[in-house]
Amino acid sequence: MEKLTVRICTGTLCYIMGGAELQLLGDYLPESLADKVEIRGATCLDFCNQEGQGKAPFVLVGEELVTGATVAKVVEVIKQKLG
Amino acid sequence: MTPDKTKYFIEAEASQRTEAGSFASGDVCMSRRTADGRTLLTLVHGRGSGIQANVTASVISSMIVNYAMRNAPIGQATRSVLNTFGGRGNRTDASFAVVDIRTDGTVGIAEYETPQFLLFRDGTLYSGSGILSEQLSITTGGDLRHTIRLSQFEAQPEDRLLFFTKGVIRSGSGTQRLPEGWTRTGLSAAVTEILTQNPHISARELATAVVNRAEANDLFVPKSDLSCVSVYFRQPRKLLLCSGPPFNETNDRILAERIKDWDGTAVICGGTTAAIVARELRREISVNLKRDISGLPPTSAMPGVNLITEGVLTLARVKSLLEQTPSSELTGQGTDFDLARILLGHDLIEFVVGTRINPQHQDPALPVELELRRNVIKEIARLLETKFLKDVRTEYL
Repeated sequence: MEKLTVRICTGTLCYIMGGAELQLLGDYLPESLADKVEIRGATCLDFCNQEGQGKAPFVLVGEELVTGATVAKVVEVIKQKLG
Repeated sequence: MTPDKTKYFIEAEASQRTEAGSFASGDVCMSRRTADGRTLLTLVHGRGSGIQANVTASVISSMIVNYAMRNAPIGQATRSVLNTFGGRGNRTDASFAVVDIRTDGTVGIAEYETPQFLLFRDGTLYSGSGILSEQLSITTGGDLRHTIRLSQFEAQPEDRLLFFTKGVIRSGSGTQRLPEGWTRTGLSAAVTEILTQNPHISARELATAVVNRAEANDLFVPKSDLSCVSVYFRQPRKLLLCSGPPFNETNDRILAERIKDWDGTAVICGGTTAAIVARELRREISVNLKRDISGLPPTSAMPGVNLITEGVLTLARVKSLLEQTPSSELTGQGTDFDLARILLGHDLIEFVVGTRINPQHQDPALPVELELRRNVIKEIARLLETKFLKDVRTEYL
């Protein structure tokens, strides 16, 4: 089965708005989900430059954009996606 | 005229050790780079030791450098020095060596009462016909005659010049192993051996190795001040640092081409910048999601680029490091130290600064104040140029 890709923005704005803790996402992922998800970093997803996209930090879970992302919020979206 | 630094870069460093029991060195080494690109070096030994010798040597060194900066002939500078510090009877107050390296590679040397310099070419001592020598006699007040040894030669890439005080070649004298002292021959053999083992040793490391050996010869209780100045005409190390997206998107390709065509070390500071280069060159970026000890955002990797870091936060930290460090040796860990070490390890540094601003970075509600990239890089470039004598160029896109 293809893994769900999670892309965490590590750009300046996302990082200072709380993105630093998102790097630890892998540690907080429940064991049942860990091998179904591939966590990757992105140098900059460029959502901060687009009007109306919401607040940093940004994370893409598959195609879904999570704004104002926290570890808990991202884990929740992953759970929903993977049913 | 700007120096032809594509041929070689002049690295000059000194190492010193103070006589046992004295807390100030009587030797003074000075280096200056003039506005027209000449490199001036002095090694002055004040008579005796301690503060008095240090003051004499400092004054003489400043006098010589200031004469040379004004393009005065070396004879005029030495005459003035010897008139002031020529001493009484057959005792002089100082001995000195002055080096003037011109932009075309011509090296002029004037030595007074110091051991003759050593030139190493292709790893061995060079004493061939390429060195033109003459003696200059100067008569100062009181009818004292002084002889200055003048030498001139054309530097070749990978040449090494070594100046040292008498203390270095006399080190070890009286010991069972070296009853006559280290001698110029012994020093030359030791340097040849070092160069055989490590042909690309830096000027600083070579000068330090010589002084360390001299100290060891004196059984780690130096009997006089030990000083060595080492000059290395080495291949320039080139660095390209790109930071910031270009103001006009039409210049994105130019930015990417600069990275692609660069024949030295390449660094990108900025996530958007890295993304632009990756897109234009169709290269893959992988972000290293491990937490960095510096607390800065993670680094990334891309084929053909040596380091990719985040932009303004990292550059601001590098700026502080360069401001605070007293020497060019940094021992800390983290992305900021890595980037600062890369900058200090290169001679020709080109900054390509994209001037497009992310308006969100100027939001007053941000928890951290973000400086303008252009200002941070301007200050880094100034520090590299004035404090670390790097050749820096900045281009805005």
